Amino acid sequence: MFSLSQLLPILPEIMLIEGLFILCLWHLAFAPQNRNVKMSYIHYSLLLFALVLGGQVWTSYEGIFFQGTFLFDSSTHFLKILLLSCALLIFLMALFIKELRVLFSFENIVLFYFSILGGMCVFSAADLLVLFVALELHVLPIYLLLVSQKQESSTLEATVKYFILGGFSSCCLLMGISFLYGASGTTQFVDLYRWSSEQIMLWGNMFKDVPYVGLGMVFVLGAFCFKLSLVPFHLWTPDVYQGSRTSMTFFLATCGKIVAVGMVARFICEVIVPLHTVVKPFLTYAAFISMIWGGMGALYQTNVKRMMAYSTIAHMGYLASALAVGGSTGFSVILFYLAIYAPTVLMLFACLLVREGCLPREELTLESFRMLRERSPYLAMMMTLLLLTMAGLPPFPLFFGKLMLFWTLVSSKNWLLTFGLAFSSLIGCYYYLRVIKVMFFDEPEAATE
Amino acid sequence: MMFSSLSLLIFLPLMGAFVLLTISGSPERVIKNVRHVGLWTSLANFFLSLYVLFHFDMSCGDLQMVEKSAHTFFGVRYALGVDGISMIFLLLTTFLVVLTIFASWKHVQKNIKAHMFCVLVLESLVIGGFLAMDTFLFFVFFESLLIPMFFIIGFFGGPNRLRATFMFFLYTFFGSLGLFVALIYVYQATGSFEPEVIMAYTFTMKEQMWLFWGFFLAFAVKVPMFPVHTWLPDTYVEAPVSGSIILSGVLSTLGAYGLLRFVLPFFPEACSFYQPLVFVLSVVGVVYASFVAFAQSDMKRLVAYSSVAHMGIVTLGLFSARPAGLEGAIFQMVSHGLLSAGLFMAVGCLYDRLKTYKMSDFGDLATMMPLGATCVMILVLSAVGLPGTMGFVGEFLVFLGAFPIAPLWVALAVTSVVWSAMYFLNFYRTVFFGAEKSLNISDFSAREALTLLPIVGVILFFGIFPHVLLQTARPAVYGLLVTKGIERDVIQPAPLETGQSTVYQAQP
Repeated sequence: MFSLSQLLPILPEIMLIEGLFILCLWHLAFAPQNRNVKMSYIHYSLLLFALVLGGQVWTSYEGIFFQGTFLFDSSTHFLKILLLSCALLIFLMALFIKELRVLFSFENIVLFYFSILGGMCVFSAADLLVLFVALELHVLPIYLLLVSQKQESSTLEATVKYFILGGFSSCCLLMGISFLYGASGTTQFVDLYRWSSEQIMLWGNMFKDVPYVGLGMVFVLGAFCFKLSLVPFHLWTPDVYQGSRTSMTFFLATCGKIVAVGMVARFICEVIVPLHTVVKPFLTYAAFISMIWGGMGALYQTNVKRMMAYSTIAHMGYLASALAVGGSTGFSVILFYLAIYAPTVLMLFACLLVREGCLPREELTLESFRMLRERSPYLAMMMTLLLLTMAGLPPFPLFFGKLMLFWTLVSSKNWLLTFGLAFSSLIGCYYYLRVIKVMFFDEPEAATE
Repeated sequence: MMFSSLSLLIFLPLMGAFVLLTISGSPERVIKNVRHVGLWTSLANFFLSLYVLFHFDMSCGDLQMVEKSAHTFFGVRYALGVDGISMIFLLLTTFLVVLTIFASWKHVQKNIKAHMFCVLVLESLVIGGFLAMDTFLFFVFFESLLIPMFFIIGFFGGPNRLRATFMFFLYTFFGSLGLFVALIYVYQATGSFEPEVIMAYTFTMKEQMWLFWGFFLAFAVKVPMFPVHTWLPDTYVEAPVSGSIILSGVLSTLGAYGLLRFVLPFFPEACSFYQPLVFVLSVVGVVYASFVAFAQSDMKRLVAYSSVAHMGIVTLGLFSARPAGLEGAIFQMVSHGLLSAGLFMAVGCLYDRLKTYKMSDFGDLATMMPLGATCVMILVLSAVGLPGTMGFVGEFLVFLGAFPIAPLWVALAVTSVVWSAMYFLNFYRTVFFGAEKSLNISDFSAREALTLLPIVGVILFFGIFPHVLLQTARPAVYGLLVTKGIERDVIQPAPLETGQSTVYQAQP
């Protein structure tokens, strides 16, 4: 028996699609007459996302729906609310930030909606194939958004890099899924969990030698690391962050990362939990090297966007270290950290956008922040607070995220990652403070050198 | 207590800092108002700390005026309290901040609002550090204060300030990361961040060995001890007067306070195991810093190195883990705080006159500025350790406490009296009695005299009546020693009479 109430778990998604249709109709009807239509789209989106967010907050279920393809639990709820709040914040900022407004033409808004929708479905996917489709729904609009803007060679280069590598990683994911399917005979998370616990009982630590499983896991993890931009699959990140327009980097660095982290964290901490001993070494080294590599890379950047890319790699390394601990502890720590990290990055990029709007050439070099305290003191103060947050210094919220990370690492006695995290935050301090230094301490004379 | 005076002590400067942000108007008006808001806020805080002192029961070694939140946040409890030891440092802090604001009255003209904001925020964080009775709360204060300090040095410092401020920040941050991890480990072992619970827990020797380093390094950097002191000369020299005073007078005291409050009682076995190492580092620090100070031609650098030497004596006293040593160390911490603050102020005053820190540029100032010469002479003699001044009591007690444990090393440390006489008297001779340079230098202005005279007065007062300070600290010190049985044969202090404060029986 089908009843409408069965659709309630996907109410927010339905609201989003409905809103999208209404937007399209609106565009058809009014666009030719109204010149100021762009602004009204943003107002409309703001309203819509507020409604969807409200719907999401109100909708909370536990369980798996639609023949085991769509799951809903507290972490899904949390992640969706986080993603929608970030989307809402982006539209809110678009009201005030010109550079962001430029992005939101009708087509781009539609793409944006689709991307958010895909992200929401990713969090709810309870089947590997649904996960794949949802992920593509999230990523494909991003490729289009990246390329839809001004056709500069750097933007094109970034887009092509991201597109080819992203496509390749999607192939890897699909390949890994098929191997896992070949080994287990299922793609559903519930069955995968049951299957992997049975197998681990049978094989113990020899599990990784079971045909296909090791191979499948390598492909899946590779694709995940690409999405998270963990070393050794991080190479696209700096180029794409620097090359694409700041308004897009903005989206990639916040919503893109929320989706990627949510997806990977669920898969590793809730689905293949019995296999965790197998993936742990891989994750440990990926996390360790990412933390160090990201930190070291950021040290020498003169372009702030590129620096932010490396800092993203480092922060993803932090999150991966919680993945390496795994289990429900790791998952909750990741969610906690992400919930602070994502809005901070969002606001930091908003500051960068504002600054970029004042620059003649769209190059966010460190130099372009020189003497910001004289030109726009409030922006400089805001950025200082955000950078100190990113550095994880005490009174600021991300410090508590870092506290939780250290907490799980110390309690699992993972000293390698503890050391890596400590070392990386030490380096992190340097490169975040360097931006503050340029904004506050550097003298104007030096600019003429 | 009708109101939570300790919380007020922490939040009053913070409120003052936010009041500052509302000041606007013409530049002259802003400067005038900012100065007054800063001065009056810090003065109010000083009087508030006197009020706390007035309500403080000197005979009791326990924490007093305890404020504890019912809830914990990540296991952290907002718990404040004051005992004899923190009472002393609380007064030192509030006292020095008033003088700091007074001393940098004329120095900072541009961006004075930011400067005063940082100083006041720093004050509230430091006070928080001294009053926090939750280890993690202490850590939060301890690490947060890097931020205002980073700005004070980086924004208002000398020509090399960028290097200095980054050195300072990264060094200290490096130290505190170890403390961070160690604290989390301690919590997971004991289930609490409260010092009493941690003290009651016995760590295995292996755990103590590691945890000791986590804690010790963080505080050793701040103190600073010998091998990790390299950030200090640059930072002290490049910092503006206010920065130098707070760094040397208050922050290094906070580091030593951390050693005293956390490292000694938490890890007694590790402390006695590493005692020889710390002794060697302290003594090497004392002697080495003295010689380096002698080689300086820059006055500010000389004072900076002398600060390393004095703090070496503090760590020597702390790790002797004996009553006399600990009391001496506390005394020495106070005297070092006052002395280096006073010397930095005096050097700053000299700098204002000739715009140079080079000793050889000065000469024969004694005839031109008799008041200044007198003040600096008292400071210098106290730094040298002349009886009748604060410097003597602290050093003497430390040597007394540490001598039975390591006679040879203490004998070496005692030579510091000679070395400090060497470089300080050389400094005094060159600057105040040196060859006439036909300089035209005025004596201290009323403001400068008002900043230096209180310090000189306090130094002389406690030099003559040290028991006032020692009595305040004594119950807490004995409490600390007895709690963990650090010193198995602690002698109960003889009832004190005036003037008979430093009498200790020989240890059996």
